[in-house]
Amino acid sequence: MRISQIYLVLYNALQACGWAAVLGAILYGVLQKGRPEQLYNSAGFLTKLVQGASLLETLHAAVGLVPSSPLMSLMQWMGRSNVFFLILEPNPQVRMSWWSVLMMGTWAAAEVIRYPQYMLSTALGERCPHWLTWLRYTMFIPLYPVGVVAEMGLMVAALPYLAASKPYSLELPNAYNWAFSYHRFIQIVLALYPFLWWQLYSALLRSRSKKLTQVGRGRGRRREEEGYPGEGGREGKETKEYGARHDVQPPPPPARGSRGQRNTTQRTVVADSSDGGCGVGGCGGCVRAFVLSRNCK
Amino acid sequence: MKLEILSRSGHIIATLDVNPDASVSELKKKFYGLKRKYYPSRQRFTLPVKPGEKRGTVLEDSKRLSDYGLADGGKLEFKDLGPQIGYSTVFFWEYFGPLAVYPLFFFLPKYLYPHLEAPQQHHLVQKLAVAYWCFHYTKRIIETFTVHKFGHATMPIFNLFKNCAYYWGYAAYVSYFVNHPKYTPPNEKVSLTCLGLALLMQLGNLRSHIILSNLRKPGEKDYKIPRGFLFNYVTCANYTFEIWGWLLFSGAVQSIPAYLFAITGALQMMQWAIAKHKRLVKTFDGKDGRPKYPRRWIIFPPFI
Repeated sequence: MRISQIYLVLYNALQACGWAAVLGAILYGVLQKGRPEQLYNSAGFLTKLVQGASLLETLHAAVGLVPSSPLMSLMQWMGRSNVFFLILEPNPQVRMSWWSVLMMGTWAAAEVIRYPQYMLSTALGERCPHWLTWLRYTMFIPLYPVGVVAEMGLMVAALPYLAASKPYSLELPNAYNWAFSYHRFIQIVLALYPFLWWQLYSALLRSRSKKLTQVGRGRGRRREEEGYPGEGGREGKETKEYGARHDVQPPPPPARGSRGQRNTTQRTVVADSSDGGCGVGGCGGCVRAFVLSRNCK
Repeated sequence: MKLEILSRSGHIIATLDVNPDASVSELKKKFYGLKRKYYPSRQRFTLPVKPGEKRGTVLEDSKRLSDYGLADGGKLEFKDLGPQIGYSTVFFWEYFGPLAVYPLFFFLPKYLYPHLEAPQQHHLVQKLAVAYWCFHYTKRIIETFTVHKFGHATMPIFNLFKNCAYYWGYAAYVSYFVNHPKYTPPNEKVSLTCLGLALLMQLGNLRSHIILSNLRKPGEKDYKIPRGFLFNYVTCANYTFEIWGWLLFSGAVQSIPAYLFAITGALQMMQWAIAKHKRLVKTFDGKDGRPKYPRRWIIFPPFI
């Protein structure tokens, strides 16, 4: 593995551990029937750490380590960080709300699947376990709506405190000839939230249908290709078995004649015949796997 | 000859019987005859993707089908571009908004800043700013109908709403603060100098537009190397003047929203300029008798 891959695997591993600890602390606190502010005290520091560190992902995109858009990555980071660092952290009354527990809990539950999946697909490429990919592309379906409701609930709950204390705000007159009301800003953010969230959610749903059907097809499609380089381990054996066994019906070739003809780069990666368990490129495609998943964030 | 028209997913939508010498626009008229929903400006046809290509060659209205090597049994991929609207229509409405909206805050402070005591007189810089702003957008509207020659006739209608939201929104945002009763004017000499220079930038921008407009003779569709004036040094000299104009305006009024507007515009123009510069460099590669595109700044010396 190249050093950049080792770095990415390490980064994802650390994030996975961090978020697992956050989830653990929250679940333990809930079971112990703790109050929200106690749960915040136990999980808050770690959440700050992992959420703050995730700014690195924008850096990774900016230097081309992963081909996600740095702008998208930054916007998503800013969205979460705004709620966490600028609203939740400084306002003790807001920390007393159950919205904060729900929010941190859903974040942690999603990340505890996403980071390990990135880690393994970077490290193992095709041998990334299918069940993990399935989890990553399925668990978001319930978790993201709950998460967005929690984030919005938290912002709504915080509005009265923001109106009273007016943080991060600027009033006229001043030399910049500008005024900024953070309270008003959050109201606008709340109005836009459902649209922004839907963009993300629907994009994930689309990549889900590409990713998961592709994995199934990948195995069937393999038998049509011969001497595929980079094929190894389990995948290779499976292919041979299809050829040898007559009692097992091989899956029908996927009906994608037109896709086969077209050669658009985006589709090539997804519809590429060289898929393995993760629906990504062969051995050399480990980083691409990571990359694809990142793009679908 | 018969041509198969395929959808993007590979299904055959139609088969058209056309003359090989027919132009692409005749093809589109025929297709419109079959499918009344898709008027010609909504249609986009591409050749099947060849190996090594990211997407198939787009058929241009003015060319003939035979120019693309299309023969009997050939296949074309169809894409619906969605409801279309004319370029000049969009330009007019996106520029009319700022022209109408900005002065509202200047002339109607009682209604737009209720609960606030408006001072008796506006500061000189506020008066000059509204004059400059209106001059700028009037110039843009006049250019739309007299100077600009558009490469495409139409754009998707969604762009109308997107572009208007951008221009009208920013007009309100900048105007609200520059014409605010609690506005703090900067040093008058600085403001006057900045606005004077900004006006010169506008004239530079106008001259650049006229040069660009004269590049193609009527009927010509090919790319040309812009020459003369600032174009000898900068590919997108028109954008250079535009960016300077807004930066100087911001310097004159000293208001953050004005700077934000200038920066947002500059970023968008940078994207366009980089694409245009790359296209010109690629087209004018110095081979086969074509001139080589000269070494030039892209949009904003000495940075890019």
